[in-house]
Amino acid sequence: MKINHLFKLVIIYFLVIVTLVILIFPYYWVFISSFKSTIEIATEEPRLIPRTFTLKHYEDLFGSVYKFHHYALNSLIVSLPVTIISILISTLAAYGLARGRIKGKRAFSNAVLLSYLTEPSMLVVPLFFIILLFGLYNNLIGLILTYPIVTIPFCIWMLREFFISIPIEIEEAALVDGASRLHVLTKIVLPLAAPGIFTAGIWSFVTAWNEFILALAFIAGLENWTLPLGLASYVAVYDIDWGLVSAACFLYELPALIVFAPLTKYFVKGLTLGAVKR
Amino acid sequence: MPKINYDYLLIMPALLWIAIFLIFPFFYVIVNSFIYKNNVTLDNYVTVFKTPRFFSSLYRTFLWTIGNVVFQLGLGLGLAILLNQNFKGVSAVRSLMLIPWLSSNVIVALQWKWIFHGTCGIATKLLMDIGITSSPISFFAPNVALLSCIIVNVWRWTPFTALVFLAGLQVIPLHLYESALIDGASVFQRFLKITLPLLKPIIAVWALITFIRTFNGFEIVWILTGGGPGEATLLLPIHMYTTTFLLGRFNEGSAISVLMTLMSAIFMILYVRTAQRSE
Amino acid sequence: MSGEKPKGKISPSLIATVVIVIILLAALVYYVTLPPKVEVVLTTVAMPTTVVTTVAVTPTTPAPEKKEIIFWHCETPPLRVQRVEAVIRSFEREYPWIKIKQVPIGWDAIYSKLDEAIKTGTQPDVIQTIPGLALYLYHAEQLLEVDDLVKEIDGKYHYAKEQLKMHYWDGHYWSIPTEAITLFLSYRENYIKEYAGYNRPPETWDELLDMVKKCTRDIDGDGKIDIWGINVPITRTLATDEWFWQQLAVNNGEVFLDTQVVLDSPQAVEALKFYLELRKYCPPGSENWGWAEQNLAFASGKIAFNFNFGGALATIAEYGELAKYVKGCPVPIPKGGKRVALSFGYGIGILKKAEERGTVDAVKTFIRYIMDPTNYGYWLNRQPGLFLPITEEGKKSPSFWADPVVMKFRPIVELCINETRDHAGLWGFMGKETSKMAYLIESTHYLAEAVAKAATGEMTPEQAIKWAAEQFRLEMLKH
Repeated sequence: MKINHLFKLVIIYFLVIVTLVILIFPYYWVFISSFKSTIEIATEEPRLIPRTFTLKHYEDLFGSVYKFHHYALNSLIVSLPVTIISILISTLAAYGLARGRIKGKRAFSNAVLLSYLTEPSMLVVPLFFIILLFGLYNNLIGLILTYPIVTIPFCIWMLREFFISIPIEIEEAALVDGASRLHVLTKIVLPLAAPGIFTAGIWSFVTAWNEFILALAFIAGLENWTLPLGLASYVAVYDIDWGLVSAACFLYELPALIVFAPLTKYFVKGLTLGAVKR
Repeated sequence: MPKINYDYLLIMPALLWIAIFLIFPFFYVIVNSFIYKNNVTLDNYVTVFKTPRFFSSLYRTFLWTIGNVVFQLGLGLGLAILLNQNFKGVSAVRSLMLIPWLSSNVIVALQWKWIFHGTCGIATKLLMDIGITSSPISFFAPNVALLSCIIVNVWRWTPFTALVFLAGLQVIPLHLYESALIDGASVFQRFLKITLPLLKPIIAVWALITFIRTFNGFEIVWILTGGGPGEATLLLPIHMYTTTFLLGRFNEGSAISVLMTLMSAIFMILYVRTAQRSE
Repeated sequence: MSGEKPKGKISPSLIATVVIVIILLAALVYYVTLPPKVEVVLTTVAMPTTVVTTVAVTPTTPAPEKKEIIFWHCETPPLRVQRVEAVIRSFEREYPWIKIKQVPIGWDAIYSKLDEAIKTGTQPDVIQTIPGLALYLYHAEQLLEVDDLVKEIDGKYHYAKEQLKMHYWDGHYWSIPTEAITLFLSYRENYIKEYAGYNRPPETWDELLDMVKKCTRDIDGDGKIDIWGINVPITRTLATDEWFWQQLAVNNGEVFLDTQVVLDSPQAVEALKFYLELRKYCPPGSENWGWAEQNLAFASGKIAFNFNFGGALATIAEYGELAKYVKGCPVPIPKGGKRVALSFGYGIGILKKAEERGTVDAVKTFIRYIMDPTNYGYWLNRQPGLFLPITEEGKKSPSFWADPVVMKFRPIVELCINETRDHAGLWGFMGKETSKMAYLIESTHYLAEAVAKAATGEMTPEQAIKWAAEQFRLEMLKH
């Protein structure tokens, strides 16, 4: 029996290690490539352990030609408001759909889920028209207005599941005691749904941070580029420095990883509740 | 005095936002697909159907989608079972699963483009070192390009899929397994008779979401191959993109978009039908 | 369980919500169906590997003498943008009442961007052109004729005649020639000597093929091929259009002649077959490559030959040791072929928009500034080795020859200047009349697609050429 158990453990660890290697390897590769000199990358055999070490790529990134920090700031300027807007709107709507006395809730909820499945690239042209109408072309505010359309449907769907899973007796008790709907929402429901809202917030932030197609369409000129656009430009038309591109990729992921790492526990929990209650 | 129902105010902001930035664009695209040179006409659709590339890219998109769904679900399920085991460090491993999902499509595509690089890439070197091939191979040759794209996309989404399935696995009551064990059921039988049936709803929903997401997916393939070489990886969304933005035929592109949305809607309906029938 | 529905009463907020939503949707649908708005408002999206920018133009009403010029160009690499900025700043110091704003847009997006700008009235004042682009703008009736300025500069600095031709049609000059870029063949002297046994560069197709074959080999004895002969692209990009057209042209083929599409010819099929032969000796993974990867492969010594505009010279220079052996020669020709080097006559076009905004004189001042041999070199060397002088006086510009990259590869630069003077050729300008639809090659990439179709085996070379010719004919009918 003991051997059986041991055998099983060995297999499990083996599979876990294989999985982790497959998962992590691309990041490792990008990480070490970012420290290799351009000459080593282009002329010598690709090595798992680098022969040369240089910080030049990182220096270049923050220089005046590649301006990584500038684009990161733009991305931040867009992502934070988008996250806040998404959370506000989604929470209200999700609560309304979960508890509100609204005709056609069911249909609306399904419609919301459906809209999650639309691909932004299909809507770029008409959205562009709207942006022009509001005179917001090449303006980060245009992005702040359009990004939520990508984040809101999923957040509403997920938060609604959350709200439904909270026992309704608590709310009804408060209502009977004379509390207003709003009071019930803010003082009672929200604290209970905090993990869910947290999850929605993180999801919105990550989605906004990574959004590419909309930014590509609505932003012109190097000044207002967000990070994905800036990154794409490093893969230039005439010249390509894979060391630089690797450094950019690594730096791009770093903040997301750092911010995200401690929060993964909550996220997995939120995902669990959301997915199960289907 | 009828009490005013303020609940509608709760959904108003969302409704407004969706109306302006989602519903209107939808209308715009639909209306424009029926307009050619200022006349209302079906010409755009005729042109779309007359283009052989529409059908070949549709076929390719199905290959791409089905390949993705099969691998993501299969590997995802296996991974979920692995993650469901109790071993030291399991929660850390679970957290690590989120990393590929966190990265943007652009980053994932660039990373893999670099790994698959023909002369400086590590993948071809590893294959040579292991002895599978004797000279550098190309991951973007016409007959393997689509497979390479599938590998990248599967890599990106399988861990997340595993987490979703994991959530489902964790709510299966343990006593079901215990009583099956007492009854002498093998591992395989327990999997077939207990795990699968109870997971079915989640697998089904996620299959649908994955299918539709993959069917409409654009960025990863675009950055990896641009649809090439030739038409080896030219998927329907890429066909739509080149028609609309690179060739400047917006009305024709709108027609393709409408058809794509229609197809996605049909898949959804089919899913709902089969889901209801099995209940 | 949700709360009780108020029985039989329709709540007023429900009505309000529905009414507002209906009004909104009705208003938006109304907008949609207005014919002018329904007209294509193309967005400006391009391949992710291309830098796409445009500018939101809010024309300012200039104070009496202050002028602001919006200048579009297609040189997006950061180095070029930086150097253009430097030239602009020194110009602005000399002429403080003129402000210039440069807007770099990628080649792949420029046509759709212009399309949209024209429709929304947001065109720039002035744009850097290649003949195809100028033709396109000419068709869209956006350009001002510039005969006076051309004659003035010709008088002062003396243009090369071949270059002037590329800016002239229908009796006028439509852009001011500023420079040219010309294709040549770069090679590694040591590779062809050691591995192919040649002491001189190839002059014919057979020689090139022979050398390319012999240079594809394992050089460190580990059983794996380490270097390849050459790379010729098959991606759907301008690079493929250009590389293939070059082979077509030296083989006496052409796409457009006067007003006809003449692509389907045995010469074209021969050229395509030659191109495909070369493909056999290209590195793995190169199906995906455009200029960038190709230049990297050559600079790092992975391929022995590379067709090149001088744009790669700056990158090659970074590879120290390897750069020593890089030499250039004219494009090899087949038996019975003719000496042609693909050459783009860059120019500057002044749009009617500048007339509207009253900036025509300011623009002309800027053009005079950069054509002045003192400044010409700085303008040309925004990408050293790529942009070549096309005026007699300009060739002597000390600022041009002082650049380190130009100095390092002086023989190559001189070769290119000579080729520009003697053998320059460009699609659409090879016949008696200018083929004014030749820009279709750049905007549709049918040539590149034909190459890809043949290379992937989807069609035979004959079928691919025929297909491309038909596509071009169809496209011409639409315009």
